[in-house]
Amino acid sequence: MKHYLFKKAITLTLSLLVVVTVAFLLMKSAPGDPFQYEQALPEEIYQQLATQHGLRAPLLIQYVGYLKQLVSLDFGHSLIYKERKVWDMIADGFPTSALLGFEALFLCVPLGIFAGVTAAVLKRGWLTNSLIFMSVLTVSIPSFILATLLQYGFAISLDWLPIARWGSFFHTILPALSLAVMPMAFIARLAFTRTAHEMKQSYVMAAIAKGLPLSYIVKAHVLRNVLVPICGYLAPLIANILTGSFVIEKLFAIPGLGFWFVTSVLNRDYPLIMGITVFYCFLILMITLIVDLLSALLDPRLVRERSAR
Amino acid sequence: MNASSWLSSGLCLLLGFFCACSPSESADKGKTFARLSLLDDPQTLDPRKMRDVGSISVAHLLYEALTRINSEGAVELAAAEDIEVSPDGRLYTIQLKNGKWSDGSPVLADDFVETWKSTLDPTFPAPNAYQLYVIEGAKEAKGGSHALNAIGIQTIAPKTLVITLKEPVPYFLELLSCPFFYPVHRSLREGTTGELAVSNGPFQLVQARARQEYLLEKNHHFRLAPFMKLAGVSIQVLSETTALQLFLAGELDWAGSPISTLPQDAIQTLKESKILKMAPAAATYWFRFNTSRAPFNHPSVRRAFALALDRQSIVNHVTQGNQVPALTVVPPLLGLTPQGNLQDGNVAEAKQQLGKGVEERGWTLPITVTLRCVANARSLKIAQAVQQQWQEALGVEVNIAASEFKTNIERMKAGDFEICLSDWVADIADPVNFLEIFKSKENPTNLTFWENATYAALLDKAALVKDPSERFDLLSQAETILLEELPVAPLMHPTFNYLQSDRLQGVYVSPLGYIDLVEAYLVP
Repeated sequence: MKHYLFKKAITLTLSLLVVVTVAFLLMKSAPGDPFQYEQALPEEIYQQLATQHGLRAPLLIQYVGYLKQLVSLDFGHSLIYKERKVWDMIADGFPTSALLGFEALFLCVPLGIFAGVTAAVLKRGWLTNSLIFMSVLTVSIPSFILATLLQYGFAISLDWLPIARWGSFFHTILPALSLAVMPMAFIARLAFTRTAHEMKQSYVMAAIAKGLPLSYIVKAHVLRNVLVPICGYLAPLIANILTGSFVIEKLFAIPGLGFWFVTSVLNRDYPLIMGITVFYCFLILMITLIVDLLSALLDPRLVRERSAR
Repeated sequence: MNASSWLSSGLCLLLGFFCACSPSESADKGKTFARLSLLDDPQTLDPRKMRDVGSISVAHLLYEALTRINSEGAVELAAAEDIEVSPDGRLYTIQLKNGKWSDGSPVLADDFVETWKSTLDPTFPAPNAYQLYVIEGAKEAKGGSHALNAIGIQTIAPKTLVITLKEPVPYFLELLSCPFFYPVHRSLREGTTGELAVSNGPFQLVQARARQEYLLEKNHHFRLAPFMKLAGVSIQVLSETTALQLFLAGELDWAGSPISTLPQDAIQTLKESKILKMAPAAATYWFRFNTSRAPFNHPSVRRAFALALDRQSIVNHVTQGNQVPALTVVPPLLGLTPQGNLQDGNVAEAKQQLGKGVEERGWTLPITVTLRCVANARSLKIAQAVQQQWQEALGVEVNIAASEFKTNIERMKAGDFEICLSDWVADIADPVNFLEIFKSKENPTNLTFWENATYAALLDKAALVKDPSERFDLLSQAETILLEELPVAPLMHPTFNYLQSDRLQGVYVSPLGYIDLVEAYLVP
């Protein structure tokens, strides 16, 4: 296990380095820079600003400088939101996005698994068909349309919930729902296919033949196998959902991280782009590691396969 | 711990977080504060660094300059008690009123002088520093070749300052009302304050929650505070659709221009339901032509494209917000009377002009041109309408190249365009703010590669004339040249479209794009 973790830590550091390098190069190759406005600045002021923020140094020097900064965990200042530190912006935005994300995960994972497994086990035609219909429908509705519909239905027409803004539990319900529906449909389909597959396996047949109740077979034997592919999907989903969604945050006026992710690129706010990329990448790698460990726990065959290799 | 106890602990944690969350203060302040929507977070709250609409809108409520533009559009004294101008128009001796900062300390001449000096400090990142270049020695100081103490600004008494200009600037009193001439408090200059800076204007910032709300309370030390009725302002950062929905639900007092926008698709419906309000803007939407490249290096071709535009139909069917079809570059509300003979949708004349240009250069029809624009809903709709108009009227082929904002600017700066849709909003209510863009092709905002010696000479001459009507005559002559040569084809003068609740009254919307709330009040 120690060896496995050590190997993982090295892979994680290398992946992070690759992402930082690629992101840095891509960012610098995008046209424009933070100090270009419609009302252009006189050349000398423009050059002065660029020099003051270290944008005139050779690319390699800028890159090495950034890596040094990163090692000391200093993400620098935003070039656009001039008084704000990148780390503070992430620290302000992430808990909000994460909270909303957890709420969405709390909704989508259990409900998705429950719907998929039930439909596959009960084998009722109408149930299967409606599950497939609902999942196709919800996967194909973009979250901003769904969010607007939810806003219109529950906030404007019925006046049950606030339209937007952030502050209380009630403010989180509609955005969390908007975030949860699509992954829920996906998880349901995944669970459905996998359960249907497992139900045909000989160990299930044997259990049925032994006269074990169906609910017990599902809980004790089938669910474990169903959870393995879902765990694989959970890693990117968690990282994605915890770091926030630009559209949902805009529509519901939520001060999360997803908004900065997009606007930092549009503004060419270099330190913010890099800061969020590094943070997001670190998060996704950590979650993948945890999910890997979790999968191994669920299905010990995976560990045996790895050690055999 | 079994699954259900994990579940209940998770729920408790979530609930605990929400209990710890402070509820939005806007709910409490909603009754006594005006609630405005702002599209983007202010990028800074330091007036020396600001260039974006969000920052300038908030700063306008927080600070008071030496002069201000009143609701009639005229310049009047604000923080200044008296301004004496020397006969040669270069020396301004300014006596201050007994103003106070929001912390109760007096506003002194030094506050203005030291703020401007810090703006001009070569080590200070002030993008608008060039706006102060009218002051003697300012440009040299910013470039580092001149001592900051030798700039033409000095304090001669605690409440008196003297400004020496490089050369006379007829609109200097208007310039003094702009955000880059606001004073900032010593604590901000010395970096000993956070976001909640001390201010000298009608309001003071009491809470700043990024991406959520900026809470401003009436500054009780402000000289006009006894006459102000508004207790405060809650500025809420909201996207245009969210702001619209909140306004319709009665949770906002102001949505839309000039500090935000309304969804383009909602304009017509809002107009029909008679809740859309409008105010004129000192701005122009125009098409820049790249005059260094064929086919727009021929004035007749530029004229043909300008004449073929059916502006009225774009205003009626595309933008729909009662914009004014533009046949001049400078918005008419700034008072120029050029002798331009530009007409709206004169297709016959347009064809003739195109034929003339093409024949003289030996080109063959049809020609193909590319129209650049920013990829947003409004620009794309305008571009598509214009594409059709030009194709139908002139038989030319028009391709649209839409890109995001920064890429678009980069392409324009590199001269990699033929026609580009853009706009200009005045910084000061003076025609020269539009005309000087085209004075030299070196001006970084010109971008059309056009310049004209007679035009530049007229602007230079106008700068030296003291009589306002004579000056405006010269500026009108300059604009006439612009309308003959057409490095830009004016499209429309935009209008500020906004929604204002019935309970908020007395708001002044400046054509320059800010909201004045000094005389505003809430109807119970």
